[in-house]
Amino acid sequence: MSSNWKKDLDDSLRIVRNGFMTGDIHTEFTFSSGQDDPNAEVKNALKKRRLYLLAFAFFPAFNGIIGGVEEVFFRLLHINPYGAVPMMIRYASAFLGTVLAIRFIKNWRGQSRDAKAAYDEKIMAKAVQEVMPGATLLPDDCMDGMDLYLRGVVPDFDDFQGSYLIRYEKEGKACAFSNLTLTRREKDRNDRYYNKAVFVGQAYKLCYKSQMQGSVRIMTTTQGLAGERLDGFKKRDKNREEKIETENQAFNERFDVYATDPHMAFYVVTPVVMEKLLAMKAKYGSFGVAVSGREIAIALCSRYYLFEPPESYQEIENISVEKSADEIRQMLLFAKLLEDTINGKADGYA
Amino acid sequence: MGMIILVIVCLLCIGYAIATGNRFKQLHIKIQEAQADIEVALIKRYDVLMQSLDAIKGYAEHEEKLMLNLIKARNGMTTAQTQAVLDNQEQVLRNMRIIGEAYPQLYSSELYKNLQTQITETNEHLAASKRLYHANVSLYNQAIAVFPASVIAGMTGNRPAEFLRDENVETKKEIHLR
Repeated sequence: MSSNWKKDLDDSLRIVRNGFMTGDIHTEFTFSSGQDDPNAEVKNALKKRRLYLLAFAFFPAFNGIIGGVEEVFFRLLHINPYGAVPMMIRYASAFLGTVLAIRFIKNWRGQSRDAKAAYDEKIMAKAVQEVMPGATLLPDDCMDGMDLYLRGVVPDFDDFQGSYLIRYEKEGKACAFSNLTLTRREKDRNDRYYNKAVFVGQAYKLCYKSQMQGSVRIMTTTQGLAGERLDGFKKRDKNREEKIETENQAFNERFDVYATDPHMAFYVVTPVVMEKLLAMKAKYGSFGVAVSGREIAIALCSRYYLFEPPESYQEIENISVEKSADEIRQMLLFAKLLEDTINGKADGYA
Repeated sequence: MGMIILVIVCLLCIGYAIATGNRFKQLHIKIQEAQADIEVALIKRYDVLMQSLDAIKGYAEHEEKLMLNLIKARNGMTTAQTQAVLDNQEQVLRNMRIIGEAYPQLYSSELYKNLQTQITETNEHLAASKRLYHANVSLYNQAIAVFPASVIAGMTGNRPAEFLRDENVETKKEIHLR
């Protein structure tokens, strides 16, 4: 009888643990073994972070149980629960609970930091070196939002942040890309300020084939974030730029082209480029391209971040240098396609 | 009262006519700018073609029928003259290719490679200029064709602008010195 009770309790606890830790009660939660998994250290660090979260989620319930036990104890001993001693015990337990909670949060944050550092160092850095030898990875840095705004590929914003800035050289020229989020402070119906995300995705700085006088900007006409229409990319500067209507009606419907010199717009946006950009929009969604000087600035409004440490148990289990390297390759493929298209090099659309 | 309405309607009509006439002028100027852009590109290509012809002279002395005279491109050409220069340059490029195919060793020289790059670059600029010209001509022709602007266009003598002929788009892609 007693062993059945224990077994049932063990099973129940295991189901709860599996459910919370893996999101699936049938998937057994285990820490990875260092012997047969080279990424075990990173995986376990990320799993521990989840464990802290689970423990923290149970903290209010644990406090409630302590309170209940105190109540039963006072009643059994016929002590007035609102007397001086019980109140002192209550305050002491609340104080202890608060101290424990602070410690928990501190540990969780420390664990998160350590897990991310391990992920960046042991997975991302290796993946970057595998795909782009000689490139520099700055996990907590990002492209300069103001520079992208001045080039005209992102909308007006108040604050920017991002991650995983990767800098590399191509044919002697500096290129870079990173995750990027732009937010703007706006008022809601009750006149309260809130931060509205006006861009979430990836930003690139690539090379243009020659020195361009002025600038040409090509931007998709509609963007959305969680069903909400974004404000779009930077508006036309009416003093400097002309809106260009090309001969391709389908392209005009999906892209806005602004240029300081219409000739340069037609030089960059050739019929082949238009066809390829239309195909890329269908595959990748909204993006903006600005060509000026010897640089191409690109903002891809993907609405998600790449390379971030995974949160779910299944994704943590699948962590590998190869998988991250593939992600980088995908990001580079988009950059290369667009760079080659704008430079008139691409022979075919992949 | 009726008189006032009539005067207001007349004023509105005159205002519309002036605004429309100005719009036609703006579009016409844009066409002229685009045409000037084509001329610049043609002059640039003329210079490069002259250099190229000098370079192949030694190889193609006995291919006289292929060595066409290049019509000198200049500023301020009419559409017909521009078209003639364009056709002439296209024909020269085509002939150069024929000569080039007959003398493969021609391609190996550094001079030729440089000229090829320059020709590709000038061709790209010329294509952009032509597309800009066509876009402006299209806008202008649309503007003077729709009613009631077409009435103003008829009264002010605005006639549809001519597009440049573009007969061999596919073959042009292949016309390079290499």
